[in-house]
Amino acid sequence: MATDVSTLHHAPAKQRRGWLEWITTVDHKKIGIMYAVTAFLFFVIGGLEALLIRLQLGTPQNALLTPEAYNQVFTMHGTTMVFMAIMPINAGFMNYFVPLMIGAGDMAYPRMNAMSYWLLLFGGIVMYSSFVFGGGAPDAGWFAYAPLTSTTYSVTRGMDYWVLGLQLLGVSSLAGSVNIIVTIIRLRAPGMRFNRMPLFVWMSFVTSFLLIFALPSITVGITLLFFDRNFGTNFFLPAAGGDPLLWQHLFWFFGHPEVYIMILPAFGVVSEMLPVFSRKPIFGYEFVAYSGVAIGVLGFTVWAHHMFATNLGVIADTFFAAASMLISVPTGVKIFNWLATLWRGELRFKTPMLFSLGFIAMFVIGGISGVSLAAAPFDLQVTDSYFVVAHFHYVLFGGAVFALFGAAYYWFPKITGKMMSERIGKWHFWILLLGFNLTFFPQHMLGLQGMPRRVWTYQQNQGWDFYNLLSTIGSFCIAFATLVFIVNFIISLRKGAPAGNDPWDAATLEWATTSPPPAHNFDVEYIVHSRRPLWDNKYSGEGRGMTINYDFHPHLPPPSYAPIIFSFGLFVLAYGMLNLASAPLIGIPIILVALAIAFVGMNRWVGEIAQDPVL
Amino acid sequence: MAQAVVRDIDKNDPGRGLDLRKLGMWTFLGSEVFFFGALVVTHLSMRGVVAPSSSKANLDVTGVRNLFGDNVLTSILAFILLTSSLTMVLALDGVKTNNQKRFRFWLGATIACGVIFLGGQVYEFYHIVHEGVTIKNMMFGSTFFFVTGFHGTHVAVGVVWLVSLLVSAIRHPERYNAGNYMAVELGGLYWHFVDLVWVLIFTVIYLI
Amino acid sequence: MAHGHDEHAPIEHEAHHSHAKLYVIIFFILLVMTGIEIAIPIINKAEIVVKQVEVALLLGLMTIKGAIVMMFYMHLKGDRRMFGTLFVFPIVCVLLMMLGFFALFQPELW
Repeated sequence: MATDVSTLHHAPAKQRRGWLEWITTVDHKKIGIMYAVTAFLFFVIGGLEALLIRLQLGTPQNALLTPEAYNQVFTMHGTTMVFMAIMPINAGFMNYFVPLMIGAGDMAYPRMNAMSYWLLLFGGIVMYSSFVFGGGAPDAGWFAYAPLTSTTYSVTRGMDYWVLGLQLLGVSSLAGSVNIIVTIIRLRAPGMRFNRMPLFVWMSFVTSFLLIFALPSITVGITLLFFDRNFGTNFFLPAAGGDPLLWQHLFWFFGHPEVYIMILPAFGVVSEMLPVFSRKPIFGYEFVAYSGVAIGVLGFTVWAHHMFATNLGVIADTFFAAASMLISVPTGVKIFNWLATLWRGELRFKTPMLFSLGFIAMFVIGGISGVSLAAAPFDLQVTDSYFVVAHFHYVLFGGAVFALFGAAYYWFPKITGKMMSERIGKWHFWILLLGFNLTFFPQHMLGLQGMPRRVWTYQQNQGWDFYNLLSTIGSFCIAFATLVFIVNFIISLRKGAPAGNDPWDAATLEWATTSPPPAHNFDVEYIVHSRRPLWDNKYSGEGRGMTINYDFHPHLPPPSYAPIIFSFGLFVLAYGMLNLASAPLIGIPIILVALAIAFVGMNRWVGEIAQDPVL
Repeated sequence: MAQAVVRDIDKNDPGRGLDLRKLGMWTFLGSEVFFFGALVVTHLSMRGVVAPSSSKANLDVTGVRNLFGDNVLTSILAFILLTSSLTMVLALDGVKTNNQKRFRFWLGATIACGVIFLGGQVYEFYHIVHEGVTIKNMMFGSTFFFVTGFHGTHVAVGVVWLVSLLVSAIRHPERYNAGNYMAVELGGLYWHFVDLVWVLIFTVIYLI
Repeated sequence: MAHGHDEHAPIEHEAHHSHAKLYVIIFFILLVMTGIEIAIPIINKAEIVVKQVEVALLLGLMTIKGAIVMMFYMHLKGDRRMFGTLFVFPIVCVLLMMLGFFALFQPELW
């Protein structure tokens, strides 16, 4: 492999400095950092929206927010957290660590990788610009049920911004997923067979397939919605023969795999962290890997369990209930494997370990309420209540977010070369764990007592007051914990202890290079002989885990303006589409300008490919 | 020694030596399969719906289907797209056999077929709208225009792609040759995929 | 590192063997099949066979046509198996998804 690269080797790419360096970068590590920082920013924004929701619901008959504002805030909270916080943080970690973990120099398509990031940023900007230009933010929920999304019930332009923002985010995710899949299939180091890949790489692989198979469905759905709202079609409008259930099918055919898209990378990072801090290999590697695949496949057969209340018929309900319960089998397999990994391990309770353990505990609670919701009769009792809100926050916050905070502590030394403060980190963990449970556990009770979700306010003395107040107090604990994290981040970035290459004594390839890694990742090529190359070299004998090929010439594509120009074209195109129906005289010129910008970007891009055949 | 072992390991690896760009193309086409699957299933589920309160053009499905006659126009379109697949694969054959003249001729022919197809589709849309079926007034029209319109958009993207290939082949006469034909093969894969979708649409929407 | 060319791709510009004849033969096979497809609904206007048989025939022809295009024009036949897997697996999944949607939209079928 080294030889065929030497034919491509040319002088090192010229470097740009300052902010231009970031705008033109095609380095998967810089892109990964930009992904993570942007996503964290959106996480904070979505969190502030959550605080508004909790403030409004903290006391009965509160009038802090108008009903209209409340609708916008909870819609944007959901949309932001799902599409602009958790998914891109996952994408950021995948971007940074998948190539490092498989011993590659970069992603398969470095420029397309940059485009994925810019489209994420622009998609987020489109969506949030609705507050300013749209007369109000999207207000029909992140699930956007028809006919709430119709122009009759959603009178601002918010939902149009929502559709176009999602289109950009969708292109971003699609390109990113194709990139990850090709990278994993093709760029693994010699000897890194599929069944030797780190489990985070396995889960990234499965997640990317879920994305490319699930995204088209919502793309079709939101395009139909856009036509309904702008061009007079009636796909989802029952009065004119449309079918609101069509939206639900298209949405949840995407939406349920989406749940696994958010949680599988979290499973992956936990499967990396637990062995390192238990000082023993993961228990049942194959089971952990293939149960992830099984979850992915089954994830496509359960979408209608979100629709039990729509009278699908007994047979359909039974099928989807059974399929949903079946998913708990591979998930349970994972959890027992993690527990068996801990068993008789030499546990080290560093911050990433605490978050991993917190993840397992919280996720199991969310999983159990999930299995109960899979039972159609029970679901009919609590559907659309706060019980459901509690459930999915336990799996998405208690699950995904805990694991991702753990991943941040685990990988921060690799990314920055400095350790994060353990002392502040532990404070962060315990405050977050307390605040999280204080916020979301009472919501189980609220749901069982009949409090519906998505309501603006409620009457007092229904038995809801106390739990709502608890929940609101808890949400401020979460906010404080996040503040602690930010403080830790800044302090550690400035004054953290030097990390060295491998501070945790971990097993996978990303720890074989320097912290932070050089632009080309590795100075040599590693030839992998085991699943734990670093450990086996250290503890079983030199050469047992991996050997080194010094005849290695890394090749890096030069920085490029093409991705950001092309993405900016699509960004402008979104605003053209917004005006196409309402003001064609403004919309059409904007669209033409946008296409021209995109063409300039594409032209540069094609020219650069001709120089350097990497997309 | 280690190297020899590695080669043995790699020989069994399903990813070994695959072309990066082709791999990405097939992955993307896999995603497109889901896109058209969702579109077609939307059409098939919804096309029979007759609006309860639609003011005009309350044709039932059989009435609408008579619009297409015996599918004369669409049969011609199917023939054209089929021909374009042949010309595309001949263009690739041309570049692989280092025959620049054949390559450019067949590529040009493919573009021409694509343009004729788009023209035919515009004419068909015009005809149907003229008969009173629009994207607004009945579910059949909405989903029909949606599916065929998205397919048409894909054809248009394909035409732009192939034109840019042709322009680049004319400006840099030796750029594509028997040793460097991946750009042509990728354009071809996309084009054949669009043709494949038409095979589906033609049968499922027009004939059944 | 793997940003290199496909190792099967020839380094020199040696010309490949032409398959033009095969492609033309395939074209005529597809042409005939399309002709049959167009003729079936016209012949069967008088319901010589029940509609279900007609539909089954059309879907069968469609599948064979699609398979031929994939195998010969998209070169999946004789190409590395990974490409075919990446494409055929989604097709199978989509067929299942479509069946699921039909079942849910036409509950009277149950």
